[in-house]
Amino acid sequence: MTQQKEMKKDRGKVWREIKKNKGPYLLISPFFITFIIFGLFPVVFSVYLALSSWDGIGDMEFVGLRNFEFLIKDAMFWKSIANTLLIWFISTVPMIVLALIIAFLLNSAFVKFSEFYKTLYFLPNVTAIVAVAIIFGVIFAPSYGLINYFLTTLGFDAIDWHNNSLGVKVAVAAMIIWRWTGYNAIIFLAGLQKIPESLYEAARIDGASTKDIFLKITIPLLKPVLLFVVITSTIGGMQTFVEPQLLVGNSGGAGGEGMTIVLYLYQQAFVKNLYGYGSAIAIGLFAIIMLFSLINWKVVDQKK
Amino acid sequence: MKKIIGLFLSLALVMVIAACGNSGDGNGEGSGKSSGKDSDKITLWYWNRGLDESVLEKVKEEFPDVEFVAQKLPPGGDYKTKLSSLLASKKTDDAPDLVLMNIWVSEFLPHEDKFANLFDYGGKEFIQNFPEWKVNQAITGDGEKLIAVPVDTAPTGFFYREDVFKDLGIASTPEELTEKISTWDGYVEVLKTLKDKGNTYAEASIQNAFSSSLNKLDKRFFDEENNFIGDEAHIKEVWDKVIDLDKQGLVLGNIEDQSQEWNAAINNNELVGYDGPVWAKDIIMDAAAETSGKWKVARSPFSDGNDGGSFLAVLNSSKNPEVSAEIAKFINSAENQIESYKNLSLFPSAIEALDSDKINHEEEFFGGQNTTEIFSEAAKNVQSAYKGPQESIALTAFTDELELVKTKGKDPEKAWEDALKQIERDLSL
Repeated sequence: MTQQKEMKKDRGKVWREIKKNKGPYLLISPFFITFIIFGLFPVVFSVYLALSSWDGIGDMEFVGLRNFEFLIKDAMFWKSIANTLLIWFISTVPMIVLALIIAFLLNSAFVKFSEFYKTLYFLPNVTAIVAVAIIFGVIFAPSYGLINYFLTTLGFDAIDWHNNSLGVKVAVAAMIIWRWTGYNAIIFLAGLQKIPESLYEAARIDGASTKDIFLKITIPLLKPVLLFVVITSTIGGMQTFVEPQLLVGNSGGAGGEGMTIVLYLYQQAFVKNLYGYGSAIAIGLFAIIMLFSLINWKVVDQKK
Repeated sequence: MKKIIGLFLSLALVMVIAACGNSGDGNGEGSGKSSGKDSDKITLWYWNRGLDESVLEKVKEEFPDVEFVAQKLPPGGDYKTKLSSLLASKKTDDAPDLVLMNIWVSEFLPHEDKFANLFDYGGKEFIQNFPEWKVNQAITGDGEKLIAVPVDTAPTGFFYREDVFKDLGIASTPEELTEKISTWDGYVEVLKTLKDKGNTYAEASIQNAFSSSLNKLDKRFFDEENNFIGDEAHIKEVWDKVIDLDKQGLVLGNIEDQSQEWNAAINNNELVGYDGPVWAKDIIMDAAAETSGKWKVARSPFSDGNDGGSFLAVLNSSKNPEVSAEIAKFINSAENQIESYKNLSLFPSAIEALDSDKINHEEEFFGGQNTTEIFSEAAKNVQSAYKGPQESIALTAFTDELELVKTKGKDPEKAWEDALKQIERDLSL
């Protein structure tokens, strides 16, 4: 009871505060207005859509939780979640290791032209993703691709990169790694440069090896940056879409081996015109990302 | 002072928001920025290479009293999504009068109320100029409404390597080949010879064999009341045929049409034939430039098909449907279609244009053959098949399962049942 009163009082206070400072609030209002129109409204609308059956043009029919009933029983939905997590794992782990190594090398004194390399490593990130996908499509093509050419010349069996369960995921992960390693390396580099030089000097005087310095000074002090990179790549990884779509098409390849959550959402809504069901998948994705954020948050909280 | 500034800012904000609301859709290139609601302004939405710009210029001359604005929008899925959201929105002040629509015109048939009925604007006579199968794609199931007029068509033909077919003793002229593949069994025989004697193929994937065979039927997955009939004998027959084709080893692999892999297969002389639409001509020319002169076109195996082709519709929200309909008809007169074919290789749909000698020309890539002749004959003979609004649901389910049969060795009967189950679920959503 008292709490409620207090909250009301608080709200009144907020309004009074806004009225008093009309000018500044007016200046920041464009962001909030556009956010409400282009951010908040679609979010709320998609919740409503998830409870309806809609073909995109005609009348919306309210169907309650029916879409979710189908969703829970939908094998392809669960498969897309498993695929997404697997792709995320086999792309994020090598990517972080590689990015760390690159950042460490760029930060060390013996590398010349580091500005040049920084630009070079960042370049994949600004390359149009469609162009990237076409090149990787050629590299990973099953019958006439570059990798299979090498494999067969070396006497191995060719891998069907489009239909082999792991093959598709490796191909998609390779694309993600190539695209994001440089970006993360730059972020790591910024973190590395914040570590005071005096710590390294002290370690060197004490006779620590480069390996020790890396594992015992660099990594622990980089933890906040590491956490940032993990969180952003988790969010990015959950939304993997363009890479598999361009590699194996809207159905995610044979048996949906390359089907990710967002690709499934896209296929249901924009290929099959099942907008209600597509929105239900979006809500499912939201729940998963929430879960991951919660875990992340717990981990960070414990540290404190 | 502060108050005055605050007032000024809020006024500015209101104006900005109002301006946003008004210009609404200032997206298209060259959108006319004319103020004032002129009822004689006609706006058209199209995508790049969807309509011939020199014909659009002619519209301005032909209709001098109208301010004609053609807006070019991004093509493909983006265009369709934009059109869908336009039709879903209740605000129609800024909507275009004319919209170009692709082969997916049938998906919009349930929303015929959003389109002007062109039967009310001389459509009945106008469609006499076009083959029935083409016009039927834009007529509602009850036959009451015509929502769009035909633009181009995409009749199919059988592209093949004349040298290979000659060497293997299959056929020496397109006429001879056309004759040989005029039945399903004859076609299978030719595929067998290709495989056994030359280790070459004419079918790249089981999915494409399925969908190109479907393009030759007179009914597909839905009847005209949109009841699902995809589980009936006519589909099962095609299904069994292509499964059988694969069992006999006559399908090259799991290679998507016109993909990089497909280009490579053509260049490696593994794929020496292709039952494809007229617009694939340019793609083959690009993909296999070195084999120029060695290609020929015969009529499609066992029946002529169609794969693509667009339409021009007038929206119901148009303030000037009469003039808009006239413009739509003008753009698609036989004369203008011939011009569009010459400029952009948009294959004509008007019978007079198909019969015209003006579209004929010899092509070097095809060893001097006049391929237009083959395609225009095919265009007149395509079967008329109704495509329902949920076409893509059914087609996706069947091709996904066929892919599993091909790549994972799934039992064909189980695959057929799973496809039907998937369709049943999707249709209930």
